[in-house]
Amino acid sequence: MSHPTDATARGNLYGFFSRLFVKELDAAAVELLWSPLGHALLPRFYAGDEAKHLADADARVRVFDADFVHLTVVNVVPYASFYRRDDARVESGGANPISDWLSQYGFEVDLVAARSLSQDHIGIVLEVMATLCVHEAEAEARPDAEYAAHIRGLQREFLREHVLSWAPVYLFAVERSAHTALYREAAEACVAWLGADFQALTDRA
Amino acid sequence: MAIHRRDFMKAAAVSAGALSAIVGSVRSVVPKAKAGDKVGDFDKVPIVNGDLAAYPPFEKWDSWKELSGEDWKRGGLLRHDVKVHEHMLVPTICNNCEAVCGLTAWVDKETLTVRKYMGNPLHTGSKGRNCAKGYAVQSQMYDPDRIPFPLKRAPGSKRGDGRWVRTTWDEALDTIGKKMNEVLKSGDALAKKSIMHHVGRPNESGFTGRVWASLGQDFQNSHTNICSANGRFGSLLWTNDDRSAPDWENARLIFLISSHAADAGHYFQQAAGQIAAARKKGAKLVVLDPRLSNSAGIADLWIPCWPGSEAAIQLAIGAELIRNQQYDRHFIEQWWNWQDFMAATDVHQLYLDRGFLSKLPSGDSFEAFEAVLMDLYGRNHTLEWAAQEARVPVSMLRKLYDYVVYAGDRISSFFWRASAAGNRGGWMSSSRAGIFLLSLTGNFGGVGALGVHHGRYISVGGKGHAGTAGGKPEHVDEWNELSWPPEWPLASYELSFLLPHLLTDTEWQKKWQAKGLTVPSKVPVWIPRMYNPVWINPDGFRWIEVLRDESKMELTFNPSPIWSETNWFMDYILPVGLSGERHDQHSEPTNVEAWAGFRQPVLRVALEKMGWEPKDPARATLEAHMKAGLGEIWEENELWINLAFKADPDGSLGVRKYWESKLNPGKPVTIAEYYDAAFRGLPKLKAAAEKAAADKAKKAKTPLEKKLAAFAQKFPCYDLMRDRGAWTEETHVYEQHKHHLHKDEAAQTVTVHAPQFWGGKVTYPLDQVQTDARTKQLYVETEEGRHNIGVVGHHGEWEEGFETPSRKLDFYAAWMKDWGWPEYSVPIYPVTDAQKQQMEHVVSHVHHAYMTEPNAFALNTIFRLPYNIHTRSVNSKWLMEISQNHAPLWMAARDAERLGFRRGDPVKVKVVDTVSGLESGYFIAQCQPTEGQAPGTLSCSHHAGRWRVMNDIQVEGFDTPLHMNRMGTPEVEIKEQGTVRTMHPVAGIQPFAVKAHKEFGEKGWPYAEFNHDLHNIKWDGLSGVWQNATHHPHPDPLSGMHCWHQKVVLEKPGPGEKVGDLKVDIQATYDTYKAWRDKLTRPAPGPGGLRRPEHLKRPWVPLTRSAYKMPTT
Repeated sequence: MSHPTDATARGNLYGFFSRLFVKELDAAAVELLWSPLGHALLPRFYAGDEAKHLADADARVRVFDADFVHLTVVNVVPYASFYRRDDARVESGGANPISDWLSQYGFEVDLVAARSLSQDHIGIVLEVMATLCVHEAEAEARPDAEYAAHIRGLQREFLREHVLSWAPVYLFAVERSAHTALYREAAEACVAWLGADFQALTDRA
Repeated sequence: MAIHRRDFMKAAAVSAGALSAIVGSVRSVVPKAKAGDKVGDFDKVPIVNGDLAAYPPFEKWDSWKELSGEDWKRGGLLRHDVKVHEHMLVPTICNNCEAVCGLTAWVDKETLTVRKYMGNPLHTGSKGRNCAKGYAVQSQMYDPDRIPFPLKRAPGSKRGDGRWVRTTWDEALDTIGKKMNEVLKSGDALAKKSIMHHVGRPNESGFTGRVWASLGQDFQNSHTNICSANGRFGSLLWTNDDRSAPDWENARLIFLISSHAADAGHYFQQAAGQIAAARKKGAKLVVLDPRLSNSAGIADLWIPCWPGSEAAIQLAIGAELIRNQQYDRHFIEQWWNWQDFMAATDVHQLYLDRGFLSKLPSGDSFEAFEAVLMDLYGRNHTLEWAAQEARVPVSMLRKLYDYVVYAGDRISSFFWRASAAGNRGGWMSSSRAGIFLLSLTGNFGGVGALGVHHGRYISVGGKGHAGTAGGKPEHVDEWNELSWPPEWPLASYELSFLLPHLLTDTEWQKKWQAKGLTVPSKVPVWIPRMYNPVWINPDGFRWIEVLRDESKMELTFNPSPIWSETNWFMDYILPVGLSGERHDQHSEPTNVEAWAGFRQPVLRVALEKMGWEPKDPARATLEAHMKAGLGEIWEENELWINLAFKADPDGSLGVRKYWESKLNPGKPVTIAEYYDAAFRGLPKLKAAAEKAAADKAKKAKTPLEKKLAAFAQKFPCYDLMRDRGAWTEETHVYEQHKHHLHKDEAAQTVTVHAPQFWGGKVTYPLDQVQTDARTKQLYVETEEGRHNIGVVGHHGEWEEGFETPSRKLDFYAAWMKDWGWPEYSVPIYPVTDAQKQQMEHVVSHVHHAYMTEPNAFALNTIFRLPYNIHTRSVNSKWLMEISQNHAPLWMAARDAERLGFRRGDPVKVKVVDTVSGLESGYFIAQCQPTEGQAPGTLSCSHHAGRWRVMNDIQVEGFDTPLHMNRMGTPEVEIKEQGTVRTMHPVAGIQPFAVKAHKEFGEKGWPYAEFNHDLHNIKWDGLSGVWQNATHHPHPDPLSGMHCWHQKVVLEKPGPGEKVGDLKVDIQATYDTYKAWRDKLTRPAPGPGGLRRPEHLKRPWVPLTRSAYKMPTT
């Protein structure tokens, strides 16, 4: 049985996590965190004191942005190639399998917008999943069940080959290293979501 | 924490906004269908032999609908929003190298843009396959830096100032035509040496020669002497056919000492496919090369021999065959002119005196000749000696010998570049010694063997005479010393790379003028064609010097689609078309067939097939390109036809008639008229064309179909080639020398090949033909002596034989002796040091004996990169992406270690000439230590190192700057001080963006739709260097070939010096030109006061017999 709203909902979830892990918080991100989705995904964060800093720009920088830099620039490496290459180097050139996959399916990445060194950044791969969910939702709206199923196949392939093979390791590291409840809980939720969604895609395949 | 998926979904289902908050870094580049686009209706690819067909069936080429190719992986057929493109497949021919593979342009009938270039399955040479350069044609067509309209040097500026004005085709034609008219009008000897067409690779078969002939000019000046003149010269000696033609596919041994067919050599892609097929059948591959080329890398045997030692190796293998009596005795007895050699007693004495023979021959029988072979080769040229000369283990040569014996009469090779182009005497080290070895085993003309190109080649591009009012142009009755200087009477092609030296050398001009020759001191009109001589020739700054001198080069214009280093110094740059934007007939001996390809302006063809008509039929290609939004881009055929009318407006000079329509007197001939007449000369094509035209008429239903059918009936041969783009007139072309002489029994005559000034053939009464009982030659006694016309075959048949004076394979070339080179009248290579000093003409100028310093090396620069083609790929972003940063200085690892160079280190390469002893300067290259380079030698391809001196080119009359090859050229700074020139790179290649221009519209120049990806440029172009500028010119004393290799001395660069820097003293290079000329050549006149032996034709422009006579004071 098809679930016409599933794809949009899943896209929202991938979009949420992508935004959180791609760069520091800005006004749009704060708005997203304050949304019902943010509250639903991060209950402990909102139950504590930290959430109050979201409203204050200076405090946001001091508390959350400092932790973001600590987690994605300084101490934990958010790139797939770091985990997948024997020499643990970030591959920004042509030998990156994620770049190959994106190129193969006609996607282009604006590294400046994502402020990343390479196309295999955690924020980018989650955004790829969000984009594929949008394609699926559009197919379902036509409706075109066959094409939607095809897109789900691509999602499952990308998730298996290029996300689950390394992202949980990174997210566990974030969970362990984070100074803020925001990133600790977001990492925990993201791992849970990736596993759950892959299982669901597998069940539907 | 346990979160279930349903919790996630529940949370997300009620929330919106997360997607709008993402940063949006991931974009799809796949276009979706827009409202109104036709979707869903497309043609199904047929299944052929269980596989999807590679191409649509020919009958659907005019309309083939397929889904947007960019989207198939994301769902392809499943998607409902994928745009359908309706294509017209228009055949054309690739123009990126000499292999001229077939292409089809997939023209989008809605937008009139070419969406892709693929192969042409009807082209039996390339069989629907292409290399990267073929597919890259689209990127060249929509190159944002191409020149969109005619440009003229700004009035008041000097050449090279970089000041340009936008002009019109009409203005350019008027100005150039007026100048041509002025110089032609006087009609004297100098007037016939006034308009020089300086051709890079011709990439067509005859049209250009007809231009010169129609102008009455001996001013063809081809690039061949920086390309293949040495390779051709050895073939001329053996066969008087200037190139060999292999049958790769059926060979048992692929023997490469030349262009590397699996890399990039001549006929690269087609040859590589055939070689792969042969290897699948068990053929062995042997490569002789100091560099581990791609071909060598996959070979059964790689022999990293010293440059120029190939002659020693081939003669030694031949000698081993002789010693072991494993040569084809019957073939040699029948087809070598051994009898002529046995009669040449003075040559025997010479070889006895020089120690090559131990005794004079006894008798004149074939057995006596065999004894001479044993004495001349078997005694001297041992495998051990050759191994020492080549600096390789003798075991390698033994293995090669085994392969030769295994392959027998199925050995294929091709003698063109590499050893031939690199070395002094390269003609001996390649084709002269090579054909000796191959023909010893009966390898000539048969299945799997080497053959001649005659018969495997169709040249009708210059034969559209019947479509014109004037018919066939007369032969030219002048000889131009600037293109064919008297010092090189035997040269296989013009000495074009010496043009600036000869123009500078007033002393040389006066010397020959004093002897009665009309030597020009200037070039009134100079026209390079598909050529960038400043960059590609040795001593490029000398070219700049002369191009800037308006007293030596009065008016210059280049029909060129793009900027180049040469164009920077032109008066006019006239943008003509690329592969899919011009007409050319072109054929090459790439296999054992005779096929012809037809290059076409594909947008014009598409428009015409859709019913469009030009306002001026003689300018149809220009009009079509403007109509389709490509720009003011024309083509050379129509340019020359129109220019002939401007140069000779009233017909009084006798030029115009050759380009005047026969159907419409007074009007220029159209492409359809001209090429219909040209292709009509091929009988099988003509028959097929007439049938195809009749079929079209039968099937025509709509008004457009009826109109096209009427056109086809009027010009059937042109129409057939317009539809197919390729035609194969003959297959299985073997043993052309055994073709029967053309006897006319009714008239009792026989017609035979003869020198070109006799029209290429001569007819004799049958009763005058005699047979030489000893040699089996057929001959006629004429007033001028004996004319050999053929050979009696084994069963008494009259066979054509070869094009040589003897009609046999000239083991002994008597004319070499007559013209003062007796020591080289047979294949020979000196063995002792004393012999080498006496015979330096065939000893490489980079022989290891010249490497006297510990840091001296022999530098090889002339290997191609498979994705580059000299000066013609810098306008392709795709080719630049895969080729930039790939031109290091390859150095044997042990040499690098010895001299302290590591990978990536800059190396100062000082260039030294071994004849003049002068050092020209240096260039700085990037070191790549490797085990794939013979010790003592270096390799650095000169196919990198393009440059520009300016970033933005402001053009008066246009609101937007033009740019010079930004995807392939770094910006450099040039300084001049006295005769010293320096170059220094100042900025590498940078990413950039283009946007549509208001004049040319959304799809026009600079073609923003096709150039969304230029921000992805990741190469900087700073690893190459313009090394040619530092090269000494080295004219081979016999063939005239520029011998490319250089002796170099390596040093560590000084502080501040970096890769790309160079310094050269153009006085040193100039003195080297004079040293090679004065120390090594043996000038004309030859016997009979001739400038050149009469049996050697002048390529491209047929001259009169009197032009061969050298005037005297």
